[in-house]
Amino acid sequence: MGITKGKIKISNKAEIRRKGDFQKAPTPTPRDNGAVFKIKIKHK
Amino acid sequence: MKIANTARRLLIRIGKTLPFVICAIVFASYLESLISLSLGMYVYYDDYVTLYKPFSHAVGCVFEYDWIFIAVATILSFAVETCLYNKMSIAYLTFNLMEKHIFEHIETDKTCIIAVCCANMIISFLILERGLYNLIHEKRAVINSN
Repeated sequence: MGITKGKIKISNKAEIRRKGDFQKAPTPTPRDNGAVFKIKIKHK
Repeated sequence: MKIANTARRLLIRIGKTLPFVICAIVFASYLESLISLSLGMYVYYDDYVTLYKPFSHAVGCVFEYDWIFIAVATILSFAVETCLYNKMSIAYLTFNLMEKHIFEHIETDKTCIIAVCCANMIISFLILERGLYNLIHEKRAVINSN
């Protein structure tokens, strides 16, 4: 019984690690009928 | 038979009016760009900063024209035998779509944005004005014929 619990714990951790590997989905670009301008930012 | 005639009339009406309506939406979008630029309304996305245009984004969520629209509008304009300004408006919308794709990939500064917005506003306004002129004169002709 104890061994089974341990196995479940390990598999859960592995699953979390795999989820973390995924790249965060970017925010969808704003939909517009005109042009969507990407503004240049001057870094100080 | 009556429904078929009504549908045909509707198709002609759509072919004659739709490009001008889209030009009006494009004009409003560029006007809003200038307003939000002057007010300093920006919005930050994941990897870039862009202008905050609530009206245009709301319209864009409901309807955003694409290459399919351009193809359909071109076929309709030749099928219905629309005026030269209608075809010019479709040509402008094609150019604007290409422009949209270019600006998705490059970063621009404020001067460039102002220049692009003004140029597009002038062209779209001229086409829109012609469309309104045609619409008013067509209505007058219908009233006179009755």
